[in-house]
Amino acid sequence: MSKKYLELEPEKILSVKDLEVKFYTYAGVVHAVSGVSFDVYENEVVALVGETGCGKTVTTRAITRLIYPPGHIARGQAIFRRRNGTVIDLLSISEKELRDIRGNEIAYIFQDPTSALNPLFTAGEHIVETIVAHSSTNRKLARNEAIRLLKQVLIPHPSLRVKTYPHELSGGMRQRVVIATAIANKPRLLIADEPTTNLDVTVQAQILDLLSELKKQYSMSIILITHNLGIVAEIADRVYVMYAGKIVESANVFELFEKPMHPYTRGLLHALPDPVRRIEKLEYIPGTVPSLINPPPGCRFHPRCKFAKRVCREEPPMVEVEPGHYVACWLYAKR
Amino acid sequence: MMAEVIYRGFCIIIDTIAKLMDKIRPGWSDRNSSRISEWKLMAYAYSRSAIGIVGGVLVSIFVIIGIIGPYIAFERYNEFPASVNPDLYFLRPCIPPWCDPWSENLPLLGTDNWGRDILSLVLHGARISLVISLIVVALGVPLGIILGLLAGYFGGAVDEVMMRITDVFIAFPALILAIAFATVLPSRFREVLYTNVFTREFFLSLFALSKEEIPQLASLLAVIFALVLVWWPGYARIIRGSVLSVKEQAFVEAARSLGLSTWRVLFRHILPNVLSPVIVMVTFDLGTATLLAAALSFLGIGPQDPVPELGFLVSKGREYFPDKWWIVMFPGIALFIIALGWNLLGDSLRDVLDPKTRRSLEFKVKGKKQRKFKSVKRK
Repeated sequence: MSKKYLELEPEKILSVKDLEVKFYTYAGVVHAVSGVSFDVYENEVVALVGETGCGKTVTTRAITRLIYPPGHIARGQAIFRRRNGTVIDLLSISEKELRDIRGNEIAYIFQDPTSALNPLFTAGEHIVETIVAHSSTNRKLARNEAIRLLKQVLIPHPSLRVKTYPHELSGGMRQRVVIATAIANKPRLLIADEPTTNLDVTVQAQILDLLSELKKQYSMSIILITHNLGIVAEIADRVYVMYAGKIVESANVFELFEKPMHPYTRGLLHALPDPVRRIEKLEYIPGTVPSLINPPPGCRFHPRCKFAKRVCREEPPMVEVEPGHYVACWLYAKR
Repeated sequence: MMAEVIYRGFCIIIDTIAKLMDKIRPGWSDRNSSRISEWKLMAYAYSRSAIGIVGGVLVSIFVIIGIIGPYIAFERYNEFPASVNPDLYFLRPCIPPWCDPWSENLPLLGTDNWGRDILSLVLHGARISLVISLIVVALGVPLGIILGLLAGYFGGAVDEVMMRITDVFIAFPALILAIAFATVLPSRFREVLYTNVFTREFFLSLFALSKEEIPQLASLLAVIFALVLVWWPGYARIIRGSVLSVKEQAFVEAARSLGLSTWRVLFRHILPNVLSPVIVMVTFDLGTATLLAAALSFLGIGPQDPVPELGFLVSKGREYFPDKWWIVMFPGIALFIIALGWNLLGDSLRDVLDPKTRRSLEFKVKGKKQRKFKSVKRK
């Protein structure tokens, strides 16, 4: 454990600095996340946007070291303020201390509610187990708490549903159980990894409403991972756009949607069909996502970028174009 | 008809259990209503499988004889009637249609070279076989499960080392390995049995042997120990394989992300999800363990005279075969029935315990006579 004194601005809850995660596969070293830095403030919803395989999920799992071989966290810091006010680096504390934080102060909601629940556990047992693992409550009290939580995530007849097995629940209900499990210990930070991807659109809206409601009630921060820009506009306060393992742009949500700067972000927003206009042809970004084993040098988007210049083969600096709006692109950098 | 009766019987048992649980913990049957109906479905599936019923009957006869056999055997195995009355050597079996054992006062299954009644010996031998197979499975299977769990979950070097050891055990012929262990171990066990009164009494009563047989008891225990040592590798491998697939599932990752300890993830989340193939395997292995123990005794490694271990009886009767065929025949038939019973039972349990085949059976039943089934289930 480093004895280094860690600092964190009072309004921030988490600050990830220069995170790098590599996967050692037979084909070569996959640079899944390379030098990602981001901050999460108290009571805010941060969205992490990007296409499949750009390292969103790996980034958030690395925060509590849920990376298993062949994956490896090569460097970086994740500075977190605990409930009792102490500031720690999640990437260098002991496994035991980390286990105390997982599910207690930082909780996850995974993408697929079908497989995120143990088929042999009832809905209630999932919640009870989480509560018992982190506090000295007895199982009976925990069971009552489970019923209360199920009620809070708007499951009808919670005292009956607490006894049902996952296969007896619908997809939306399962995701609600997952959410109830995640908020069981009133976490300070909730990491929602594509919480609505496998759900119907109507259920998606309900789940999003539920999440923002819970955020207000428990005054927690949420990191929302998604590739759905509609969800971002709906719920997020600030957005980080990721491309091929790097953050290319970050801004306030209104700013980002009104004045996207990075060519990739613009491409993404262009690719959203406008329901008002008649569409001749869907917009798209030419080319494919680069292989992360041999990422292109410099800006990783330059092979697909229509503004690409020779300088793009060098690493672009992160520039603050407007207060709180950062872009990593040579178009906006002063040379 | 028969199937219906068996099914009703199981239902009554299940309902009684539910009622009992309700008394201990009020509301239990409400909370577990889906579990109870699943149990009833299992009972139904089992009662429709002829193989399963035959196996179940054979196994229950064997288990009952194993428990009460030594008490209903009318002669002790260590009494030698021929030393008093030489006429009792090698009496032929007297089986009812051809011969009336009661009026002529002849032994039902004949006698051996010491005039001991073969039926009594087989009754006693059943107890020894039952205890051996139960102990071997009860010790060997948990050992295999735990090693497989650890190897599968931790992976890497732990996995590599454990699985190579397993490979060594599997590559080596089990019987020869068991012979090696069983020849070395008895002297050690004898010391323990002579010094430790409690262990001695416990095992003597378990096998229903008398005090003079302590050296034989030591070789019996050596056989058991040897079998346990060769028993775990199969389970370790199977469990490891299942763990490898289960641990990649999202709920394991979710459990980790909730901050549960490794121990909890391993035993509460992974273990219950890999256990179902083991239950079926255990049933088969109870038969195999009986046979292998008999094989060891047959080869002369297990207990010696006068302990009526079934394999040893066969081996001893070999000298007088084929003139005195009954000494080999009846212990052999007993072994055959035991192995057959466990295998048939295992076969049907595999179908009954697998939710997929159970469902297909349910649908088949619903197509045929839906009303009857539902009414029973609802009750």
